[in-house]
Amino acid sequence: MLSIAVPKGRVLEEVNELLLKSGLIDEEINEDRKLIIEYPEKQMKFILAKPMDVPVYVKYGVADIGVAGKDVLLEVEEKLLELMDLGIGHCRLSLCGRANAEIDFGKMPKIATKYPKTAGRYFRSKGQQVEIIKLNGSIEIAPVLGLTDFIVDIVSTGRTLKENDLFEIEQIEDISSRIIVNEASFYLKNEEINHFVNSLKVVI
Amino acid sequence: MPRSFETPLGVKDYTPESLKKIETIIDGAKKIAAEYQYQGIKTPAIEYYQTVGLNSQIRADELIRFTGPLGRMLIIRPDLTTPIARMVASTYREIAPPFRFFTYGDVYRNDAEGLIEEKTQIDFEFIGEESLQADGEIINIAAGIIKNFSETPIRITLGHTQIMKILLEETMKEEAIREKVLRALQTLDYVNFRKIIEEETSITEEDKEKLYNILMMKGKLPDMMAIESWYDHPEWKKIFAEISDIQKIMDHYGLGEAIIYDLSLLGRHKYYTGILFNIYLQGSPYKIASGGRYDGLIGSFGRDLSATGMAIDVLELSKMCS
Repeated sequence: MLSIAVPKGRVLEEVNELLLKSGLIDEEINEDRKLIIEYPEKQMKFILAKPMDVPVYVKYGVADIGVAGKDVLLEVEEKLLELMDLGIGHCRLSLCGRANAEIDFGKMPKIATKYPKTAGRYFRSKGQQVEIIKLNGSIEIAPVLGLTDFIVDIVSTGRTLKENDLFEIEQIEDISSRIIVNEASFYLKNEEINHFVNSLKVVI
Repeated sequence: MPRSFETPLGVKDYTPESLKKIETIIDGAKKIAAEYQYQGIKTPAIEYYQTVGLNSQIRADELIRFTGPLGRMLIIRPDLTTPIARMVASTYREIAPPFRFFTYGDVYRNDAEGLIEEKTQIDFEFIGEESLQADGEIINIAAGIIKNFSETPIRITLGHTQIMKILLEETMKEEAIREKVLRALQTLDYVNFRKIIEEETSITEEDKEKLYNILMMKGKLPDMMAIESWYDHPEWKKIFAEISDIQKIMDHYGLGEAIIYDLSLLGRHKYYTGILFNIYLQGSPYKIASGGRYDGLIGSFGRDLSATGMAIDVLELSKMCS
């Protein structure tokens, strides 16, 4: 039995599409039912998890496999086996701010983000000291309210940015969903995991 | 200020019941040590950052460092192997090898979440012996200690650090790119491994195939030996001779069936130079034991000696009592 942690929310639809197309499942994983969905005849069970929790389940081995966004993986900093890029959940992690906003090297800019570690690493690599304020959602309102000068956040279509008068200043990372695997499971259930991954590879 | 009941985050107390299992495992290890004539030794829990810390090649962020009474930077030992390497190059300097040493104790590191990672390890080191018999003996001892305690079938993953090194040298000219590819592999980031190769190198499709194949190949010896014909390089041939010899040795110990080869394996420690291995148990999400050959480590303390060794994660093993 393989257990696979999948993220609830916007990426699940694309995950379902891949799983159905690959023939790994015949019936889609439905978010509004149970949190653990078993497919006994396929020897698989899916765990519906908060995106940030997927790497945790894989690290502790309650899930053999996980589907996690690169944004989440960068933030948790765990050494997890990152096996394959699923090519779904495409977006970018970017530094955004108001029009004409520039980082003033004379003062310490404030940054709002859901990803404090990743943002910290980015500014460190640029040699810029910043003050990071962690928010858990609706990051875009921080500059509107005057709480911060900039934000570091996920951008896909850019619509939310536009609605809040914000502009993408610099792209930090390309984001997509990855297959992560528990290291011990990778060796102990190698054939099952290879079958799972190879079935997906065909439809990506 | 911490409340009176608290321990630093990441470390914990052991109840008599959990300690009992740990002691059973350590007693088992002592018996095997006596049987194979490994002498018990003990090194200090605290070492100098400038010696053991640097030579361990463990990232400075991971080491627990503090300032000692004379203003010198000290560390709590992050592993048991590096202090033994120091001891062999100092206390034992005038004594001729080989040495078979056995020890156990706690090792400490900072983990990515800012917690203290505490591990209790059993450690066996076979020093001053170049032959594969030494590597085989070490793997057999690790498997023996585990099997004495748990009946769960074991799986041994086995690799050789020089394979990826030669393969990268043969396929990529730029050293900076090779370093990047190796780092991706060290952090188990297969996606980035492929991405660097696709975007930052101009290597042939054939070479790409080789690199991607070796990454995903996990299997038995005959599958691995198909790779031998890739290069005529004497060092390349030597690695495969070593792998097929170690298989024979492990067959002799009755462990041949448990081995699965992973030729892209680099291991937790940067000081590994040859054959290396990890042991997993069905039902445990972590490595139970790991080890390998480290022919340069004692040299970094000023005495040129080859060596191989292993460490068992006692706490993870203790959870696998059958």
